[in-house]
Amino acid sequence: MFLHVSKYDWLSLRANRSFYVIIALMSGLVWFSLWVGVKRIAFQQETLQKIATQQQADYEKYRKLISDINAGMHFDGGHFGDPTNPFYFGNRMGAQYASLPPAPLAIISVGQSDLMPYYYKITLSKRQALFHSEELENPQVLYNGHFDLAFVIVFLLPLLIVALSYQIISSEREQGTLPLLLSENVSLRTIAGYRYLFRYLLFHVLLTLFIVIGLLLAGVSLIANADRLFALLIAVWIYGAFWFSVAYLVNSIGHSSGINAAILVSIWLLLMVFVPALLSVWVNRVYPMPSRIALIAQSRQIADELAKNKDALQRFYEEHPELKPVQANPQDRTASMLFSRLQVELSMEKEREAFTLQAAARRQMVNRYRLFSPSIIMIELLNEIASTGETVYSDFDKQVAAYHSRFRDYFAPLVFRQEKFGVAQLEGVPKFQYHAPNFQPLAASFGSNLIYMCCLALAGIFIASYRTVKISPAYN
Amino acid sequence: MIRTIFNKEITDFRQDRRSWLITAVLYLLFALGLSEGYRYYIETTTIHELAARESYEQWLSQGKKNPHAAAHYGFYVFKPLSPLSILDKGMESYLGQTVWLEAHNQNEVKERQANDAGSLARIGEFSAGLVWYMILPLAIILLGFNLFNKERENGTLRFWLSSQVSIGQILIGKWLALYIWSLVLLLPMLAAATLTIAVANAAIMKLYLGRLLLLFVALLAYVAFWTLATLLVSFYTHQPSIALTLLIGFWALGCFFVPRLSSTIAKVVYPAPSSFEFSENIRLDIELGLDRQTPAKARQKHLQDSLLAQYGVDSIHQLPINYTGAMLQYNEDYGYRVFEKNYGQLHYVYRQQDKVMEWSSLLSPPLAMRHLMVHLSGTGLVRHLHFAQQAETHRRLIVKTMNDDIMNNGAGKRVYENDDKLWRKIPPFVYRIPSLAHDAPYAAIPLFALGLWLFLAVWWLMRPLMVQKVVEI
Repeated sequence: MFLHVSKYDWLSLRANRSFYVIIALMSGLVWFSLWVGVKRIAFQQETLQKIATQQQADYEKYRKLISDINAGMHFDGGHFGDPTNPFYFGNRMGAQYASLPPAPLAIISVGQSDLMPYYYKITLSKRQALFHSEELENPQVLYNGHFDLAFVIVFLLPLLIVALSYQIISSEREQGTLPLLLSENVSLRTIAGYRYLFRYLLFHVLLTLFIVIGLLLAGVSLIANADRLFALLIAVWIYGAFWFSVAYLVNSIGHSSGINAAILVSIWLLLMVFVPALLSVWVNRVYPMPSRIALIAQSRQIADELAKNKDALQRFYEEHPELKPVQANPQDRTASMLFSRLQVELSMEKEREAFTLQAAARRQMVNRYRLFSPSIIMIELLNEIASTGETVYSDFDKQVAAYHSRFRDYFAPLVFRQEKFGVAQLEGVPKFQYHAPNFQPLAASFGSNLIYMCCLALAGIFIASYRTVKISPAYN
Repeated sequence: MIRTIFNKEITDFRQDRRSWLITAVLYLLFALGLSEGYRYYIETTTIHELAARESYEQWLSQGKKNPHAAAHYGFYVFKPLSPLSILDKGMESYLGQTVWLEAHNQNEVKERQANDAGSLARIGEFSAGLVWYMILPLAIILLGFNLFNKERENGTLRFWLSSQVSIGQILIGKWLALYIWSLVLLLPMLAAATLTIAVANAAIMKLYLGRLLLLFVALLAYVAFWTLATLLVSFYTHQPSIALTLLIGFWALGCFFVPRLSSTIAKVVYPAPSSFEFSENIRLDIELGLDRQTPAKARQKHLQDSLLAQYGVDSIHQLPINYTGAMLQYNEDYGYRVFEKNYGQLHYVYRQQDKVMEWSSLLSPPLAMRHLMVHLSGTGLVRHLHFAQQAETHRRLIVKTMNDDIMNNGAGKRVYENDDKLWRKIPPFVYRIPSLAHDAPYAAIPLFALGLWLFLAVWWLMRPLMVQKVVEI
C-alpha cells in the first residue's frame, strides 16, 4: 500500500514545478553554506600555520642569538631586548602560542568560533590578560551571523519542508478529490500518513545525499569522521521529522491550504525568533553576566597596593631559599615584576571564579528551557558536532590556563634566581599540546535532546493521524 | 467617497479581534524591549562612569615616579553609550567598551560583551528598535494582508465597482485607513521611547533630538512602505492566504536570509586580516621600519646624528635636552605612523565590508531600517571609531606631556622624577559627540535604499490608480 501511494505521490510531485524549485534550493543552500564554511576554516588553518611558522622562526633566531651572546658576543639591543634574561625572553621574545585547531566538521557550524579566540599568545603576563584576547572581526558581521550549514538546517530547511507539505490534505479538498479518497476502503489517515512518510523519506534521502556530496567535495574524510557524520545525519532526520509532524498536525485540523501555510509560518516564527529572544531576555534578567570593566580598576588597585609592599619579595626569598639568586643583581627588577604579577593574579582568583560560575549558571538555565524551542536544541547539537560550541571553548580556556601556569612555572625559578637563559633552557620551554575532548554522540545531553525531539515528532504524528479521521469535505 | 471607505475600514479594524490581539502582543514585546534597553543603558553607563573616575584617580595618585613610567601606567577610558541605544543596542555587544591609554601602544578598544554572553545571544537579542523594524511590519502584514482581496472573497467587490467609486479611491481610502491605524499603533510607542530616553539622560537628550526626529520621520516612511506593499499584494492576489504567504516570505527573507548572505559576501569580497597577522604587521613595521628596510637601530642612529648636528655637539651627554626624552618622543611619533597605517587599513576594510552590507538593503527594507537606526543612534562601527580616534588623541597628549617634561626638565639628570603636579596636567577624558552633519553622510546608503523601496511601492500603486485597467473580480 505504501509503495502504491508513494508512486502516485511521486508522479504528482514530478508534475508540480515547485518540487524542483525546492530541491534546487536545497542543494544550492547546502553547497553554498559548505563552500563558505570551507573558506572560513581554510583561513583559520592558514592563520594557525603562519603562527607555527613564525614561532619556529623566532625560536631559531633566538637560539642563535642566545648562543652567540653566551659565547661572548656583545649585545647592544638594550636590556629589554636581551634574550639571555629569562624574564624578558619569556615576557615577549619567547612567546608561545596555544592554538585550537578546527575540528574536521567545523565547516558545518560557526558556533562561537568567530567570537572566541582560537589562539592565545602565552607570555609571563597575568592570566587575566588572556581574557583580553579577541579575534579581529567586523562587528556587523558578528551581529548578522554567518551563512553556515547550521543556519540552513535550522532556519531555512523547515521553510522548505513547509513548502513541500503544507497542503497534502487541504489540496485534496481544494481539488475536489477528497470525497473520492474518503470513499475508498483505505482510510484517509493511512493515505495521508503514507504521503507524509514518502515525502519525508524523499526529502531526507536527497538532503543526506547533498550533505554527503558537499562534505566529500569539501575534503572531509567521511570514514575518519563517521561518528560525527552519523550524529549529524541522525539529528537532521529527527529535526526534519519534527517539522513534518508539525505540518501533518496542522493539516489534520482541516483548514484550507492558505491558512495552513500561514499557521505553519507563524509556528516557524514562534520557535525560531520569539522563543529564543524571550528566553535570552529572561536569562539576562536572572543571571546577568558580571561586567569585566569593574575588574580593571580593582586589578590595578591590588597591583598598586602590592607594589607599596617592598619587602614582600624579600619575604618570598626567605620562604623559598632554593630560589635565591647566587649573585643578586640589585639593578635587576625582573624578579619583583614577576612576583607582583603572581600576587595580583592570586588576589583576583575569586573574581575570575565568579565569572566562570555565572557563565555555567546561564548555560544550565538555557539547557533547562531549551525544550521550548527545537531551534535552540538543534543549534547546540550542531555546534557539538562541529566542536564550535561553548563546551569546547571553555575546555580550551581551561587547557590554556593550565599551560599558562606550566609556562610560567618553567620561567619563574630562572627569573627568581636571576639565572642566565641559555640554549638548553630554550630547548626546555614547554610547548602547548591541545587535547580535543572526546566526541560522545550518545552522551547524556546530546542523546536526550535527540530523544526529546523524536518524542515530539512522534506525538505530533500520533495526534495528527487521530485528527485526520475527522476530516470531511466541508471546511472547518 | 474616500472618507467613507476610510471610516468603513477603520470600523472593520476596530471590530476585528485580530487587531486587538496584534496590538496587545506588539505592545507587550515593545514594553519588554524598551525596559531591556533602559536597564542596559543605565547599568552600562553607571559602570563606565564609575570605572572612568576610578581609573583617573589611580592615575593622579601614582605618587612620585619617572614620567615615562607614568606613561606606561596610563589610564583606562570608557566609551559612553549613546542614549539612543535604549532603542536598539545595534552593534554595541560586539564592540569593545574600554581602551588602555599607555605609552608605545595604540591598543584596541576591548571587552566585547558578547564574548561572555554565550550562544543564546547569537540567536535572540531583543529591543524596542527590533519591534519597530521587524515586528511592526509583521503586524501590518497580519492586519492588512486581506485588505483588498477580502472584498473578492466576500463578493463585495462587485458592489464597489458597480457604484460610482473608482479603483483609485478604493485603494487610497483603504491605504489611508491602514496607514493611520498603523500610526495610531506606532505613535504611543514613539512617545514612550522619547520619554524613556529623556528620563535616562535628560542632559544629553538635547544633542540627540535632531537624530531622534530624523529616525521618527524615517519610521513614518518605513510604515508607509509596508502599508503600501501589503495593500498592493492584497490587490494583486486573489486569495488572502497567498497574499499572506508572499508577504511573510518577503519579510522573512529580508529579516533573516539577506543579512547573513550579505555578511558572507562582504567577507569574501573584502577579506580582513587575522588578529595575529595584524599584530605581526605592526611588530614588523616597528622593528624593520614602514618600508621594512629601516630597522629601529638605524632610525635611532639617524635621530642621534640629527640631534647632534642640530645642537652642534659631539656626544649625547652634551645635549641641552634629555636625549632619552627626545628618543622616546621620536619613537612614539614613528609608532603613530605605524598604527595609523595598520589601523587605517583595517578600518578601511571594515568600512568597505559595511558598504557591501548596506547596499544589500536594496534587497531588504527591514535591513535598510536597521542600518539607518544604527547610524542615527551612534551604535555602530562609525561611532566606535570616532571614540577610538578621540581616545588616541588623548593618549598622544599624555605621552607628549610626559616626554616633553623629561626632555625639558630632565637634562643631565640620571634619575628624574615628577609627581602629581604633572599628572594633573592631563585632563580626564571627555568624549565629544559628533554632530548630526558628521554622521549623516554615513546613513546615505540605507536612506537611499529606503527611499527607493518607498518610491517603488508608490510607483506600483500609481498603475492601478492612473491606468484604468480591468480589475479582476
